[in-house]
Amino acid sequence: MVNLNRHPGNFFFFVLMSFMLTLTMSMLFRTIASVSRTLSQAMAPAAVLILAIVIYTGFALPVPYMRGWARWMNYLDPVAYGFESLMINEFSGRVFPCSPEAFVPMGASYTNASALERVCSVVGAVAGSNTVDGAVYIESSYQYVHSHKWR
Amino acid sequence: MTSSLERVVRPGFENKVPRTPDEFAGLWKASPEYASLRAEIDAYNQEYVIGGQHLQEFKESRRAQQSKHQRPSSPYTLSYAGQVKLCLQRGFWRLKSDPSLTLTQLCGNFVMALVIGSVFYNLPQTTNSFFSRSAVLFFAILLNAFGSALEVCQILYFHNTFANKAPRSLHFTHSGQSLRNIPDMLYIILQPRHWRPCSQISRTKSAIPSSLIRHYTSWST
Repeated sequence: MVNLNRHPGNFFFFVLMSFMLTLTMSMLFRTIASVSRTLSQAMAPAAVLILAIVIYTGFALPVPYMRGWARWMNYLDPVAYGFESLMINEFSGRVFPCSPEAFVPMGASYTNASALERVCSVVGAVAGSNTVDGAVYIESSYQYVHSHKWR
Repeated sequence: MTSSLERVVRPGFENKVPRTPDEFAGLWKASPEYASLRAEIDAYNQEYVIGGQHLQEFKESRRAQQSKHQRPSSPYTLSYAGQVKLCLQRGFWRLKSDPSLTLTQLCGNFVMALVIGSVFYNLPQTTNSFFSRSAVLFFAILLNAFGSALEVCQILYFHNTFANKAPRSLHFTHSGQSLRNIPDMLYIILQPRHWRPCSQISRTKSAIPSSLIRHYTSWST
């Protein structure tokens, strides 16, 4: 339905990553639960952890924007690695054509502009090209590199 | 008897009754009851010598009770693999006996997947979809990861009461019990699967719900 990357290799990678991430987080919360005596006692650190993990996954707050003193949470966060792998899985190796309304400048009088006179207003576009390479996109906006796929 | 204020002496025996603790001890050791007691103890020790034949018999019976692969010096009856197998079986029985919770979770996840799939239905292959794709991935991860968290906390607290009933010291190591949750893995395995059919594209341009259901069922069979 969502029309993510349709190749079977990517599909199974997605399933594998989701499974392992679910396992990892499940184990993390079991660890917290095993050291606490009551359910409510376990909820407190779990809630704080959830908040930290969600923020430092790298989506709401992209990695380049994280301050140095808080960057370590991104390194410790398993969801961050999973998210990076999934993004790489989705975007790298694919080239996305620019949609017509994303070109700058736009408008009726510019429809005949040549390739060099307009650029896609999306992160990672290169002047003179109609397409945006997926890997370039994720690298420039999230700093995700393909070699990190299996981290 | 030992308190001098409350002692009542039979008349005629005032000189023979012991008054101090030392006299008591001395009289006891010299009495015939003590001698017979000592004789009983010695006879018992003679028959069941420490480190003797009965110990050997006990060791053999214990060894016969233990499973084949177990080290003889281990206090547990079963080997590690045997414990894991038992716990695994118990977990499956538990799942079979009361699947309502698991099924409910599965159905809930399925519905969520459908909802998310319809929100992000048919993302175009152009650069317009960049943000939506990353949002979908992010959401999928978060739902999977934190959906399991809450259930895990509850399950742990709920099932600990069952686990503690078993005679722990002899049959199950703690790590063997931790592997009992493998049937929970079934649920975890099925959970992310629901996301992926939602990301399978339907080639047709239409968004009719019937085609959605048809594609999903054809994928799952």
